[in-house]
Amino acid sequence: MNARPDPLVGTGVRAGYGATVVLDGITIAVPRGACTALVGPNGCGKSTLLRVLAGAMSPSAGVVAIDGDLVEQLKPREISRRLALLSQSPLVPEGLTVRQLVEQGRYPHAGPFGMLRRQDDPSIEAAMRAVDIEQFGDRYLDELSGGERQRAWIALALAQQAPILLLDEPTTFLDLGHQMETLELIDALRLELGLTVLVVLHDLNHAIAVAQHIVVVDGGRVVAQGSPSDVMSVDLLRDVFRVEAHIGTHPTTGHPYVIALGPGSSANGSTRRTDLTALR
Amino acid sequence: MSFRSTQLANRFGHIRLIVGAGALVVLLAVIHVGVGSRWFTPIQVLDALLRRSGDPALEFIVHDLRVPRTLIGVVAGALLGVSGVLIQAALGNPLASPEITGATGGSVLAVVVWLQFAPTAAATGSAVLLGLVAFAGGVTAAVVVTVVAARSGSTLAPLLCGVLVSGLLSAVTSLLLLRRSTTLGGSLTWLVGSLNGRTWSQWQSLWPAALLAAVVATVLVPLANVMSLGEATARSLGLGPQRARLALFGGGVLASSSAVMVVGGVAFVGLMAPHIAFRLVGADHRVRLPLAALVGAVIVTAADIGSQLLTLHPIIGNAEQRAGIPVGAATAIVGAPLFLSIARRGRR
Repeated sequence: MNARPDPLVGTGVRAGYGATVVLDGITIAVPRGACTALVGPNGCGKSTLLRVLAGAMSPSAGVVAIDGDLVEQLKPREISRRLALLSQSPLVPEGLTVRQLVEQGRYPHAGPFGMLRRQDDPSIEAAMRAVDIEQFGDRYLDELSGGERQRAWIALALAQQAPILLLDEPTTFLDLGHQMETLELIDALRLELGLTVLVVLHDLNHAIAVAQHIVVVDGGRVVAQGSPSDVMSVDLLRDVFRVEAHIGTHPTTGHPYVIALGPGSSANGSTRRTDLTALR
Repeated sequence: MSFRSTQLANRFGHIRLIVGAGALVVLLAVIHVGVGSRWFTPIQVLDALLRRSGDPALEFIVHDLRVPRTLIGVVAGALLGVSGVLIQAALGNPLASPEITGATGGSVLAVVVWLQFAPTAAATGSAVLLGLVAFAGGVTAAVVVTVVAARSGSTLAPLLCGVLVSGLLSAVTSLLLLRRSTTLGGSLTWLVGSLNGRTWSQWQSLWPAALLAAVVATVLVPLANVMSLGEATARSLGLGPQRARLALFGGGVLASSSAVMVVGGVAFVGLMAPHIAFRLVGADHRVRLPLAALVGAVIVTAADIGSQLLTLHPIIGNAEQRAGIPVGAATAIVGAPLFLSIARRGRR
């Protein structure tokens, strides 16, 4: 029997900004070695949950544990050795090469003067090879395409060599080809490096394709979780995302797939209808 | 502006650039030693430095008057360059500099107050106390500016606020100096920043502070690099942004106040040097910081050679007075337009 706890667990987490409650008592366990997708409508608290789980924000109630250790008792540097968080659309620093960016991933492992030996660290090369950007090493970030840049940032997180990887909407702002590349990369990282991945995604079909476990958040609470086929239902899409949808079975993978047919009913039962009469 | 891969991207290029800048500093230093009310050629200077010129008067001037002045200029310029890099990293703002954040003005005012109101003459003469006073003044002013400006969150707010606070500080400084009008002349050239009349005794107070600032800056390099990736990424790498900002700012003020207490408020070096270094090697602070130090030294020595030449062939006043045009006036004349051009471009 495996006695190791789930690598990342949040229990009864509440958090907010000022008087606004964003997370209203969330309990979530991220299974080891799997990819978990966090989905939900805009403003449901996905990104906030990710920040709280990464120790970047303190919950007002509840606890977060990494490998069974309470986050509040871990030093920031210790957290960053266990868990890497890639924020949504990070800024593009000017005058920095890809290699110089990825080198920063060694910061949690370097001493005060560590930057002098850091540039020879083999894990930098390994991280760049993993996302296939070693040929861009000496190019500046602002001359890369969006997809290449996203891979450079993922390489930064990989150079941290943390067993848990948290990604906040890594496919947003990428074209379809780069979205697919990124999803495939996430899958490879899980399979080949055994990483535990928690990823916020907007596209439900992306979540189904990449994740073994899906957690649906709405109104600061977990409203459903489980395998993609358990979670995805016409009722859930109507209640959480307010869409009428068709759910089919993918002919080759056997996974469900979602087609949104149109806006659903709002809470008071009336169908939303765009009113353009005043603009005529 | 954006950087292309072909532009001095490889490490070998960076090392050559740093060695070249170092050689330029040495060359300018030798010329600088020869420049003054009596002009010596670099050959004469080298002979005098090696004590083989056979001219005791020349050797006295070079060893006792000129060399300390040059050393102070080189080190103060390097300190201001380092200070600019650290303060820009702290605020994540390419227009930030010790004078814009009020650090320079705060140090100047604190030193003026200290020299006028120090309890005893022994206290006035203590280099350590003077250094602490300059640092405390710089930190206080810089903290006021950053805390007030932090509320708005805009890139320009700290600069506007810094200009206002600097203006206020220099007004108060002027008022204090007017109370003792007999010391006015000497203090005024110090306020603008000057190397004239700097001797070994000032060098004695400068080098320990400079050494400390250099060690602190070296330790801060990884922090500056991580902070350049933005707050969220810094946090993900286990670096608390608030503490990192504070450390970088403290290091920046330590460097600027060390320079200010000896040479006064030499303006715009802390802005120009980091900017030029960035244009040459990019954002990696492992290369940018040492290069900015060397560029700062180049700017101050070159500017002082220029102002000494203007003093020799005076366009202001007459030749007999030879008060010496302060180096700070020269750096301001070159630096202010550069500042405007960076500001106009918005981001670098």
